[in-house]
Amino acid sequence: MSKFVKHLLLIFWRFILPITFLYLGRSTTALQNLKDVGIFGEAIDCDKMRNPLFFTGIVISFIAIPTRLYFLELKNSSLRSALEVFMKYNKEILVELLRIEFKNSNANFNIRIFKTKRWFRKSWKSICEKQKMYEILNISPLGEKDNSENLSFIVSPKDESQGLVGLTYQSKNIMYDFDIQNNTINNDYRLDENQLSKTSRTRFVLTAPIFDEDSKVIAIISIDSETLLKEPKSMSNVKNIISNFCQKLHSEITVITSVGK
Amino acid sequence: MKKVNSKKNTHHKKSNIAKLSHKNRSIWARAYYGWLLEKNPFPKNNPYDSLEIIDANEYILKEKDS
Repeated sequence: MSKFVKHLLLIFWRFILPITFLYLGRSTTALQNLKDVGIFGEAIDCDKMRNPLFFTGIVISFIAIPTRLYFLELKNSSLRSALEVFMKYNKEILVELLRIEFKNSNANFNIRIFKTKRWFRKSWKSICEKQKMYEILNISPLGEKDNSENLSFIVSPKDESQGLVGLTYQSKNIMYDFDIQNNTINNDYRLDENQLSKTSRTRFVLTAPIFDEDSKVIAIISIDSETLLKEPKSMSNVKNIISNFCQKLHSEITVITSVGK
Repeated sequence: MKKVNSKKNTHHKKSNIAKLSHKNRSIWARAYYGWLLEKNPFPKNNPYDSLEIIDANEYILKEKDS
Protein backbone atom coordinates (compact mmCIF):
# COMPACT_ATOMS: atom_id res chain seq x y z
CA MET A 1 0.00 0.00 0.00
CA SER A 2 1.46 3.34 -0.96
CA LYS A 3 2.19 5.96 1.68
CA PHE A 4 -0.36 8.34 0.15
CA VAL A 5 -3.24 5.84 0.36
CA LYS A 6 -2.20 4.90 3.89
CA HIS A 7 -2.28 8.55 4.99
CA LEU A 8 -5.64 9.09 3.28
CA LEU A 9 -7.13 6.10 5.14
CA LEU A 10 -5.68 7.39 8.42
CA ILE A 11 -7.19 10.83 7.84
CA PHE A 12 -10.51 9.20 6.98
CA TRP A 13 -10.47 7.09 10.11
CA ARG A 14 -9.40 9.86 12.48
CA PHE A 15 -11.37 12.83 11.18
CA ILE A 16 -13.98 12.07 8.54
CA LEU A 17 -15.49 9.02 10.25
CA PRO A 18 -16.46 10.73 13.55
CA ILE A 19 -17.76 13.76 11.64
CA THR A 20 -19.90 11.44 9.47
CA PHE A 21 -21.27 9.69 12.57
CA LEU A 22 -22.13 13.02 14.19
CA TYR A 23 -23.83 14.23 11.01
CA LEU A 24 -25.85 11.02 10.62
CA GLY A 25 -26.81 11.20 14.30
CA ARG A 26 -28.05 14.78 14.08
CA SER A 27 -29.59 14.87 10.61
CA THR A 28 -33.25 13.89 10.35
CA THR A 29 -33.12 13.00 6.65
CA ALA A 30 -29.60 11.60 6.01
CA LEU A 31 -30.28 8.09 7.38
CA GLN A 32 -33.64 7.90 5.60
CA ASN A 33 -31.94 8.90 2.33
CA LEU A 34 -29.29 6.18 2.78
CA LYS A 35 -32.07 3.69 3.46
CA ASP A 36 -33.90 4.81 0.29
CA VAL A 37 -30.73 4.37 -1.76
CA GLY A 38 -30.37 0.86 -0.39
CA ILE A 39 -27.27 1.17 1.77
CA PHE A 40 -29.27 0.16 4.86
CA GLY A 41 -31.80 -2.66 4.88
CA GLU A 42 -35.53 -2.16 5.41
CA ALA A 43 -35.36 -3.67 8.92
CA ILE A 44 -33.30 -0.78 10.29
CA ASP A 45 -35.18 1.86 12.23
CA CYS A 46 -33.64 5.23 11.36
CA ASP A 47 -34.83 7.03 14.50
CA LYS A 48 -33.40 4.36 16.81
CA MET A 49 -30.07 4.42 14.91
CA ARG A 50 -29.55 8.16 15.31
CA ASN A 51 -28.65 8.20 19.00
CA PRO A 52 -26.07 5.36 18.91
CA LEU A 53 -24.43 6.95 15.83
CA PHE A 54 -24.31 10.36 17.52
CA PHE A 55 -22.85 8.84 20.68
CA THR A 56 -20.20 6.88 18.68
CA GLY A 57 -19.25 10.11 16.88
CA ILE A 58 -18.82 11.90 20.22
CA VAL A 59 -16.74 9.05 21.68
CA ILE A 60 -14.38 8.97 18.68
CA SER A 61 -13.98 12.73 18.31
CA PHE A 62 -13.75 13.72 21.97
CA ILE A 63 -11.99 10.72 23.49
CA ALA A 64 -10.11 8.73 20.86
CA ILE A 65 -8.55 11.65 18.94
CA PRO A 66 -7.41 13.72 21.97
CA THR A 67 -6.00 10.57 23.64
CA ARG A 68 -4.11 9.70 20.48
CA LEU A 69 -2.82 13.27 20.19
CA TYR A 70 -1.77 13.25 23.83
CA PHE A 71 0.29 10.08 23.41
CA LEU A 72 1.80 11.38 20.16
CA GLU A 73 2.79 14.58 21.97
CA LEU A 74 4.40 12.56 24.76
CA LYS A 75 6.32 10.50 22.22
CA ASN A 76 7.31 13.64 20.33
CA SER A 77 8.70 15.33 23.44
CA SER A 78 10.72 12.25 24.44
CA LEU A 79 12.13 12.01 20.89
CA ARG A 80 12.92 15.71 21.02
CA SER A 81 14.86 15.41 24.25
CA ALA A 82 16.69 12.35 22.89
CA LEU A 83 17.62 14.34 19.78
CA GLU A 84 18.90 17.18 21.96
CA VAL A 85 21.09 14.77 23.93
CA PHE A 86 22.56 13.35 20.72
CA MET A 87 23.13 16.83 19.31
CA LYS A 88 24.92 17.87 22.49
CA TYR A 89 27.07 14.76 22.32
CA ASN A 90 27.87 15.48 18.67
CA LYS A 91 28.79 19.05 19.51
CA GLU A 92 31.09 17.90 22.32
CA ILE A 93 32.94 15.60 19.90
CA LEU A 94 33.34 18.41 17.37
CA VAL A 95 34.48 20.90 20.02
CA GLU A 96 37.01 18.42 21.39
CA LEU A 97 38.41 17.83 17.90
CA LEU A 98 38.69 21.58 17.30
CA ARG A 99 40.40 22.09 20.67
CA ILE A 100 43.00 19.48 19.68
CA GLU A 101 43.53 21.13 16.28
CA PHE A 102 43.82 24.65 17.72
CA LYS A 103 45.85 23.41 20.70
CA ASN A 104 43.65 25.21 23.18
CA SER A 105 41.95 22.97 25.71
CA ASN A 106 39.89 25.76 27.27
CA ALA A 107 38.34 27.27 24.17
CA ASN A 108 34.56 27.37 24.08
CA PHE A 109 32.70 27.10 20.80
CA ASN A 110 29.14 27.84 19.82
CA ILE A 111 27.52 26.27 16.79
CA ARG A 112 24.85 28.36 15.08
CA ILE A 113 22.75 27.60 12.07
CA PHE A 114 21.84 30.33 9.59
CA LYS A 115 18.75 29.77 7.50
CA THR A 116 16.86 31.81 4.91
CA LYS A 117 14.96 34.68 6.46
CA ARG A 118 11.27 34.47 5.60
CA TRP A 119 9.87 37.32 3.50
CA PHE A 120 7.44 38.50 6.19
CA ARG A 121 10.34 39.01 8.62
CA LYS A 122 12.29 41.15 6.17
CA SER A 123 12.16 44.91 5.88
CA TRP A 124 10.36 46.51 2.92
CA LYS A 125 13.70 47.82 1.66
CA SER A 126 15.24 44.34 1.44
CA ILE A 127 12.11 42.93 -0.21
CA CYS A 128 12.16 45.70 -2.85
CA GLU A 129 15.89 45.27 -3.49
CA LYS A 130 15.46 41.46 -3.74
CA GLN A 131 18.04 40.83 -1.07
CA LYS A 132 18.43 37.31 0.21
CA MET A 133 19.01 37.19 3.95
CA TYR A 134 20.12 34.47 6.32
CA GLU A 135 18.91 34.55 9.90
CA ILE A 136 20.46 32.98 12.99
CA LEU A 137 18.85 29.97 14.60
CA ASN A 138 20.15 29.25 18.07
CA ILE A 139 19.52 25.67 19.09
CA SER A 140 20.09 25.25 22.83
CA PRO A 141 22.33 22.15 22.79
CA LEU A 142 24.53 23.63 20.03
CA GLY A 143 24.97 27.25 21.01
CA GLU A 144 24.25 29.63 23.86
CA LYS A 145 21.25 31.92 23.50
CA ASP A 146 23.26 35.11 23.99
CA ASN A 147 22.83 38.57 22.48
CA SER A 148 23.06 37.11 18.95
CA GLU A 149 19.28 36.63 18.80
CA ASN A 150 17.70 37.94 15.56
CA LEU A 151 21.13 38.36 13.95
CA SER A 152 20.83 38.26 10.18
CA PHE A 153 23.13 38.81 7.22
CA ILE A 154 22.55 39.71 3.58
CA VAL A 155 23.96 36.89 1.45
CA SER A 156 22.85 37.98 -1.99
CA PRO A 157 23.51 40.04 -4.20
CA LYS A 158 27.26 39.47 -4.05
CA ASP A 159 28.36 43.12 -3.74
CA GLU A 160 26.06 43.59 -0.72
CA SER A 161 26.80 40.30 1.08
CA GLN A 162 27.65 40.68 4.75
CA GLY A 163 29.95 38.80 7.10
CA LEU A 164 31.46 35.37 6.73
CA VAL A 165 27.97 33.99 6.21
CA GLY A 166 27.67 36.08 3.03
CA LEU A 167 31.17 35.05 1.87
CA THR A 168 30.39 31.37 2.43
CA TYR A 169 27.10 31.65 0.57
CA GLN A 170 28.81 33.27 -2.39
CA SER A 171 31.94 31.09 -2.55
CA LYS A 172 30.30 27.81 -1.40
CA ASN A 173 33.42 27.11 0.64
CA ILE A 174 34.43 26.96 4.29
CA MET A 175 35.58 30.41 5.51
CA TYR A 176 37.42 31.26 8.69
CA ASP A 177 38.80 34.27 10.48
CA PHE A 178 40.90 33.89 13.64
CA ASP A 179 40.48 37.49 14.71
CA ILE A 180 37.31 38.94 13.31
CA GLN A 181 37.76 42.18 15.26
CA ASN A 182 40.70 43.14 12.98
CA ASN A 183 38.33 43.50 10.07
CA THR A 184 35.84 45.70 11.87
CA ILE A 185 38.18 48.71 11.47
CA ASN A 186 37.89 48.71 7.67
CA ASN A 187 34.49 47.02 7.89
CA ASP A 188 35.44 44.55 5.15
CA TYR A 189 32.48 42.40 6.10
CA ARG A 190 30.03 45.30 5.46
CA LEU A 191 28.41 44.88 8.89
CA ASP A 192 25.96 47.45 10.17
CA GLU A 193 25.93 48.84 13.71
CA ASN A 194 23.47 46.26 15.00
CA GLN A 195 25.54 43.38 13.61
CA LEU A 196 28.76 44.91 14.97
CA SER A 197 27.33 45.23 18.46
CA LYS A 198 26.02 41.65 18.41
CA THR A 199 29.36 40.23 17.28
CA SER A 200 31.57 42.55 19.34
CA ARG A 201 32.79 39.80 21.68
CA THR A 202 33.40 37.20 18.98
CA ARG A 203 37.02 36.58 17.97
CA PHE A 204 37.07 33.36 15.97
CA VAL A 205 34.47 32.49 13.32
CA LEU A 206 34.30 29.57 10.91
CA THR A 207 31.41 29.18 8.51
CA ALA A 208 30.53 26.22 6.29
CA PRO A 209 27.73 25.63 3.78
CA ILE A 210 25.12 22.89 3.94
CA PHE A 211 23.93 21.76 0.53
CA ASP A 212 20.75 20.16 -0.72
CA GLU A 213 20.70 17.30 -3.28
CA ASP A 214 21.05 19.85 -6.12
CA SER A 215 24.23 21.32 -4.54
CA LYS A 216 22.45 24.55 -3.59
CA VAL A 217 23.27 26.18 -0.26
CA ILE A 218 20.29 25.70 2.07
CA ALA A 219 21.88 26.65 5.37
CA ILE A 220 25.17 27.83 6.80
CA ILE A 221 26.84 26.48 9.91
CA SER A 222 28.76 29.00 11.94
CA ILE A 223 31.21 27.97 14.64
CA ASP A 224 32.31 30.90 16.78
CA SER A 225 34.40 31.46 19.86
CA GLU A 226 35.16 34.38 22.12
CA THR A 227 38.64 32.97 22.74
CA LEU A 228 41.53 34.32 20.71
CA LEU A 229 42.91 31.26 18.97
CA LYS A 230 46.18 30.66 17.20
CA GLU A 231 46.01 29.56 13.57
CA PRO A 232 47.52 26.09 13.10
CA LYS A 233 50.11 25.48 10.34
CA SER A 234 47.69 23.39 8.33
CA MET A 235 43.92 23.73 8.24
CA SER A 236 43.36 20.50 6.25
CA ASN A 237 42.33 18.49 9.33
CA VAL A 238 39.87 21.22 10.33
CA LYS A 239 38.46 21.14 6.79
CA ASN A 240 37.93 17.37 7.00
CA ILE A 241 36.31 17.63 10.44
CA ILE A 242 33.93 20.40 9.35
CA SER A 243 33.01 18.91 5.98
CA ASN A 244 32.24 15.55 7.63
CA PHE A 245 30.12 17.31 10.24
CA CYS A 246 28.20 19.23 7.56
CA GLN A 247 27.74 16.14 5.41
CA LYS A 248 26.23 14.20 8.29
CA LEU A 249 24.05 17.16 9.22
CA HIS A 250 22.73 18.01 5.78
CA SER A 251 20.01 15.34 5.47
CA GLU A 252 18.70 16.04 8.97
CA ILE A 253 18.85 19.82 8.81
CA THR A 254 15.07 20.32 8.57
CA VAL A 255 14.48 18.15 11.65
CA ILE A 256 17.31 19.80 13.59
CA THR A 257 16.14 23.31 12.80
CA SER A 258 12.62 22.40 13.95
CA VAL A 259 14.07 21.77 17.45
CA GLY A 260 15.16 25.40 17.66
CA LYS A 261 11.72 26.82 16.86
CA MET B 1 1.70 -42.22 -1.86
CA LYS B 2 3.88 -41.09 0.98
CA LYS B 3 2.26 -38.50 3.16
CA VAL B 4 4.41 -35.50 3.81
CA ASN B 5 4.37 -34.13 7.29
CA SER B 6 4.38 -30.46 6.53
CA LYS B 7 4.77 -29.44 10.16
CA LYS B 8 7.88 -31.58 10.53
CA ASN B 9 9.32 -30.21 7.29
CA THR B 10 8.96 -26.59 8.32
CA HIS B 11 10.45 -27.40 11.66
CA HIS B 12 13.62 -28.73 10.07
CA LYS B 13 13.78 -26.23 7.26
CA LYS B 14 16.21 -23.47 8.11
CA SER B 15 16.00 -20.03 6.58
CA ASN B 16 19.02 -18.67 4.72
CA ILE B 17 19.74 -16.29 7.58
CA ALA B 18 19.50 -19.04 10.18
CA LYS B 19 21.99 -21.14 8.18
CA LEU B 20 24.63 -18.47 8.68
CA SER B 21 26.82 -18.76 11.71
CA HIS B 22 26.53 -16.08 14.39
CA LYS B 23 29.81 -14.51 13.26
CA ASN B 24 28.70 -14.34 9.62
CA ARG B 25 25.34 -12.92 10.59
CA SER B 26 26.92 -10.07 12.50
CA ILE B 27 29.23 -9.36 9.52
CA TRP B 28 26.23 -9.13 7.19
CA ALA B 29 24.32 -6.97 9.65
CA ARG B 30 27.26 -4.62 10.02
CA ALA B 31 27.71 -4.45 6.26
CA TYR B 32 24.03 -3.64 5.79
CA TYR B 33 23.91 -0.94 8.43
CA GLY B 34 27.24 0.39 7.22
CA TRP B 35 25.73 0.70 3.77
CA LEU B 36 22.67 2.44 5.20
CA LEU B 37 24.83 4.91 7.09
CA GLU B 38 27.36 5.51 4.39
CA LYS B 39 25.10 5.50 1.30
CA ASN B 40 25.86 8.56 -0.66
CA PRO B 41 23.09 11.14 -0.83
CA PHE B 42 24.86 12.75 -3.79
CA PRO B 43 25.24 9.94 -6.34
CA LYS B 44 26.36 12.25 -9.18
CA ASN B 45 28.50 14.96 -7.68
CA ASN B 46 29.15 15.40 -3.99
CA PRO B 47 29.62 19.13 -3.26
CA TYR B 48 31.31 18.31 0.05
CA ASP B 49 34.19 16.62 -1.83
CA SER B 50 35.12 19.88 -3.55
CA LEU B 51 34.86 22.02 -0.41
CA GLU B 52 37.87 24.22 0.26
CA ILE B 53 38.87 26.00 3.43
CA ILE B 54 39.75 29.64 2.82
CA ASP B 55 41.04 32.43 5.04
CA ALA B 56 38.39 35.15 4.83
CA ASN B 57 41.07 37.91 4.91
CA GLU B 58 42.83 36.46 1.86
CA TYR B 59 39.52 36.00 0.06
CA ILE B 60 38.54 39.65 0.68
CA LEU B 61 41.95 40.84 -0.57
CA LYS B 62 41.60 38.75 -3.74
CA GLU B 63 38.10 40.09 -4.31
CA LYS B 64 39.35 43.66 -3.89
CA ASP B 65 42.19 43.09 -6.39
CA SER B 66 39.90 41.58 -8.98
